Amino acid sequence: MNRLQLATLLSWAGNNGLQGRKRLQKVVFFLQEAGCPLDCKYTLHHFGPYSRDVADRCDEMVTAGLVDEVGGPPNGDMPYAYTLKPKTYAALERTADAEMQRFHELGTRLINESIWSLELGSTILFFHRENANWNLALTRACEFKKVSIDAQPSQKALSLAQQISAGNP
Amino acid sequence: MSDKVFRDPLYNYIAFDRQRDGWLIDLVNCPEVQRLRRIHQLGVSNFTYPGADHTRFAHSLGVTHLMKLVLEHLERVSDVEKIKNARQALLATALLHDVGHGPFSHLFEPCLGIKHEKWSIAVIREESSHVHKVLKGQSAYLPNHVADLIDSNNASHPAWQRALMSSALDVDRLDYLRRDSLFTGAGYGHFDFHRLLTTVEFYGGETDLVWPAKSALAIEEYIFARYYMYQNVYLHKTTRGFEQLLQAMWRRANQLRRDGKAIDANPVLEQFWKADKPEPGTLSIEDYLRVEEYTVQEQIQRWTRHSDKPLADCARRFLERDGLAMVEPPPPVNPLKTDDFGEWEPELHKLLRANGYEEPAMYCLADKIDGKYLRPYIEEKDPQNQSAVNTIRVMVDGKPLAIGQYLPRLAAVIAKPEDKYCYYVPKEIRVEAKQLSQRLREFMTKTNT
Repeated sequence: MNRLQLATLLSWAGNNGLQGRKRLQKVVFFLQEAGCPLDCKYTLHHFGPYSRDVADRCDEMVTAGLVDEVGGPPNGDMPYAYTLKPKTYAALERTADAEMQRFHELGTRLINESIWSLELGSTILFFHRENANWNLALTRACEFKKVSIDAQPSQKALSLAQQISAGNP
Repeated sequence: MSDKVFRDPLYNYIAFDRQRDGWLIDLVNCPEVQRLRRIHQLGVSNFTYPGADHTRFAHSLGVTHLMKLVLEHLERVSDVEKIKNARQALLATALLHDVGHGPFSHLFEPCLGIKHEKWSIAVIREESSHVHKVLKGQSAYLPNHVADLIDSNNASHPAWQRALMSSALDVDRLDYLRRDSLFTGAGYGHFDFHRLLTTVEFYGGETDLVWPAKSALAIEEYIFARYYMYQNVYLHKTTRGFEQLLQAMWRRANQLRRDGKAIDANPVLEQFWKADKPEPGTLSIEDYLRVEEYTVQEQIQRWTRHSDKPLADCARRFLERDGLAMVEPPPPVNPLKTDDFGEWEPELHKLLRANGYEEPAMYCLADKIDGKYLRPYIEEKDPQNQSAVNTIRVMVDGKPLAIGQYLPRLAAVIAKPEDKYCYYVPKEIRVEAKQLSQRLREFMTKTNT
């Protein structure tokens, strides 16, 4: 994922910014699974798919003064939140990523999705990539996250994963 | 029965118990592992550091030795059965993790369009390979278990098993940092690896790995060792210049081939080039493993006599160590497009043409250094997203704390910096190229103000 792509994604989050590093990880994962060419390598982590590439790009843009970061430790009750600096909005106006723009609607929807649906849904989708079997993927993901398969949030997360996989979000 | 002993400059003796680990000695003797004796651990770093002629084979043995040490420690301090059950798979993973490397290690991967991890997995899963047969002789499940542990996308086994092999502080890094330091003679890269291996603990239902706070200084030394080694050895501009030259040579050959011109390929590489995609499945394991450093060097030797002048010249430069010079480009014209330097490349091409270089693209080589290599340890800052894979943590008051938070003085060496670009050009135009970069930089500053 390059700077332009992350800046485009963060611009969809508006003035409130994108809330939480975990949310950022999962939104990028889903966008990538939906066909957005972000080229981030994901591995399975405690909280579902995690990409060092996403974390690094975000931190790099904070260091470069292009993205504002607020929140985060020490107590851990305020998640990190990311917004673009005014100069980054200005730079974004001078260039555009047409490919990214095709995913504007989906990206905005994912940014506003519940964090649990993102977390469990991305884990289901991660397991589905391994064996292309939704029942098995749901079972493995629910075992991994230690939650009930039949619970309503699990079914909602499954539905989100299936929609993304079918290219019909 | 006596141990099988390898003399090693880092550990003095690497010993395998013939009774308990005879299978591991068989694995060492497999041709796929012996091939690693012919692959330089550091690619062409020996162009800069003449002593850096050590191989992937010695490194793989070293990693196996360290894995053995850490497993002995974990057997002592945790569930013995759990460790014993995973022991064979972990030792084999340590020995075989690099078995799919191509010539000159990582350096040649963009030339051939390969990822060594994929080939390591393919070699291990391939039923006809010698390593597969040895592993299967121990247990039917073992080849897949080992391949799974190398596959970063596979989550079939407990996270701690992969973390020992591939994480922010793993046995692979513990070996190569010290080994590369010793053989380059760079003098950096020293840290108390023994303490790190013998104090690691399980955490979180025994899925994750952490260290006690008393190991914090050894961790700090390790982080600095990584930092120094990247700055001084892995990212050395001379080495990077030759890497770019080799890759440019290969791009040129590919282009000539696409244009229907003869490239005088040697038979082994011809086979490689014939494959649609040089990936497991389209290219046989046998054909892949046949591509060795001497195959590549023989090819380069052939190209010195090729009728295409740029190809022949780059081949000669490579063999005679007549490298290009590094210049820094002006800042990018848009901070969101870090590889767009505006007029820099077109102007540089004009300069090259004026100096008799008819194919300027071959002598204006862009090198992108990802910021993560400029700060080789970057931790995940959100505690909720941390694990041994992305963050080194020490136990403080019963809770894991990222080393960067425990030792805030590390902030300067672990913050994620920006990616960096360099260009390599012929030495005789270096001064003019630098002046050009400076002029464009001043122009941009004026325009922005």
